[in-house]
Amino acid sequence: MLKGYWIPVLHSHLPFVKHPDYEYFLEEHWLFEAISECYIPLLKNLKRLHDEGVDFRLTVSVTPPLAEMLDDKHLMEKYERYLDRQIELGNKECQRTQNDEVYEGIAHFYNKKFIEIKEFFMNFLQKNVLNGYRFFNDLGKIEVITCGATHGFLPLLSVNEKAVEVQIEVAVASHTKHFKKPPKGIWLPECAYYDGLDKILKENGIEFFFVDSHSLVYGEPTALNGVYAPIYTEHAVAAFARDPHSAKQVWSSKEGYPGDVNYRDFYRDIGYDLEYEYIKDFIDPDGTRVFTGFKYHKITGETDYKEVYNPQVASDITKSHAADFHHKREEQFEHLGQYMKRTPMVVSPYDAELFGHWWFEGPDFLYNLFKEISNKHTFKAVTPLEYLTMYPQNQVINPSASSWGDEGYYDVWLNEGNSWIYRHLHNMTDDIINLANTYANGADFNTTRLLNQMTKELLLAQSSDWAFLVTTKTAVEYSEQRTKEHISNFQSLKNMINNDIDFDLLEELEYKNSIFNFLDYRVFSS
Amino acid sequence: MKNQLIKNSLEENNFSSSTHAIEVISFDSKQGVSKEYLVPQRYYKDQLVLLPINSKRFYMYWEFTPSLLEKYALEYANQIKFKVVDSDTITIKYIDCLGEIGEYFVNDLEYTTKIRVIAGFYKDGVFVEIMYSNKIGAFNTHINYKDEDKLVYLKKEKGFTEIIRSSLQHFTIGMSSVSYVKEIERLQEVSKLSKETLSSHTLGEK
Repeated sequence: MLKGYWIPVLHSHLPFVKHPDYEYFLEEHWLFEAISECYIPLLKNLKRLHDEGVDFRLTVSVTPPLAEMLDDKHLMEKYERYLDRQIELGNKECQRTQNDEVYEGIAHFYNKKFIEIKEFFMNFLQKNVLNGYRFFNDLGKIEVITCGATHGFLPLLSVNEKAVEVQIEVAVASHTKHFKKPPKGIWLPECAYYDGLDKILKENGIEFFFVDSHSLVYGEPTALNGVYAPIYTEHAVAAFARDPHSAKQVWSSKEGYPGDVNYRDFYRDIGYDLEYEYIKDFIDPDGTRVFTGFKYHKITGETDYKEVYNPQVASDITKSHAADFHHKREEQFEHLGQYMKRTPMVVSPYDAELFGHWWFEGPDFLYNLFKEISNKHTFKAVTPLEYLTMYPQNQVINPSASSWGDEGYYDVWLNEGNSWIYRHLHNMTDDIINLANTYANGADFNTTRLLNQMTKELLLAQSSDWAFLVTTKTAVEYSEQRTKEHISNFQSLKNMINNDIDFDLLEELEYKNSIFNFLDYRVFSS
Repeated sequence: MKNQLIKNSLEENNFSSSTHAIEVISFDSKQGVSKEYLVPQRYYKDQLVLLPINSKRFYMYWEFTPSLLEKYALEYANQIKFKVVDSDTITIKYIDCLGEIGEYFVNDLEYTTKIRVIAGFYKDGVFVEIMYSNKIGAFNTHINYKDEDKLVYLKKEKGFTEIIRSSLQHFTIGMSSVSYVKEIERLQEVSKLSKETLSSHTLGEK
């Protein structure tokens, strides 16, 4: 008899970054690293499971900016060249470490890894990473869901509800464009909920979303089954809440799996370790040392002393960690089953980019976990819709306002460091609504171009990533500049309406900030 | 710096968006950005906007145009006061206006109902209202249920409290058995649950 249902969720997101004016731009490498270390390893392992006849279910959010980048010809051509450079570096490393009994093996490991990634990218994925998600989505093995159009922090945009409506409406349109059918579910940006958001979700055909634990426990009224069953909101959208126990198993510094001393160390990278003359062609052209992805050491311990990484040992440990995770879920389901009149459900959401990038062995852990689930049959991985089909009747509550940020509310995205952003976002929204209403019946060709590009600049400025990175004091200058750039672009374009048009600037922005080619400014009209 | 970031990201009970992948991916980001972008200093319109942050903190920004000041014969914007009012329009805090354009973080003000801010000034001892902000809702930070549903919760007895305890393990009250017991005691008081079914011994179990 099944003891429980497990709903694993991976939230895949990167902000829209495209710099066609540079062959090498570090922030574009966020995407290339994520593809090589996270998305392709995950898809490769899902394919292995599929080929081996192992049943699995996974809910994956692919945010609209990520989907747009993964579908962007310019970026994918750059990614192919990035892979070629990685393979070239791999070959060079194999030569350098020839007859070196300590490093030769690990150099060959990386060389083989990048060759296999390229092969998977060129053949199974046909140079488009979204093809992998589409393949498993169509099979019903994964449920791809959407997110806010540009990952805007919806509670802080809701001063003008139209801003939230557009974030959702454009997200649904983007998902439909990329996956040929509208999404049933959404990962709310930063898991952030506010009272009334469910109505907008319902109007856009969304059937379920996710919240953090306290959103249901502090709901009105408190959820009878805590986070172990979904609830319906007043507008009949289902909310699933994060289970703290399974989250902790991955994130906790004391108990978390990624900290195992045999797993790969994130920091030791030949981009920093080797002589400049040797490595200069594979780091930033301006000479700044960066990560290359060739990391030869294991965590080893808390000191700077690091031993050489052994992929086989690490791979074996992912099996024992998968078994441990499985065992703890069994115990959890047994415990919860005593108190519930239905089979308990546990939702485990994680950032997809942490499986493979920070936790190099994360994709193998998931592979082994799905095999463990398939072999033991004590609980089952399901998607939210499968669960709702089994249990269509659920308590109706009003979830409390919340996010999954530090302290559980909105502090991360609104504080002394980033508060200046919101005044501009709100005023830009007012402006585009006024213009969309003024030109509700259409505008001439060039004014339409200006209005459409203004809409894109506003949406890009709304991304929660910039406020987040300012708070965490990482890439602060880039994040502030990105926000200012979109605000400035918006104002420049606005000033061109009914005035002289700077066609060079307009064309440059249309090419660079080319997100959402279907976008019509009238999405903002009343 | 790098080590600290990752360390912070993996601190116990801090497994949320503060560990966002971008933070890890971008910590070595090139900081130099050559072009300087200008953003508007003001929007030339009257506005007073509130944004919620948490149950004890909110943010407000404002802009008052010269024509608004002129309309009310105000020489300076700092003659304006802000009144924070709750849903019954009872004033819970006064804030000074610092200029025609400004922002303010209101800290340590626990609001349990919707609140808004009214801008105005005193004339002959009377507060003359000149502008209202948007309303923001309160964050609920307590276990709660409606009186009419009491029986449903009572029937679950320990099941309910165990499940809620499990659901909240990493968060606020779940981190401290003292505050958890206090919260359950509050529930007991409301629901008159017997001490036998909810002893502190039971609640303290892991």
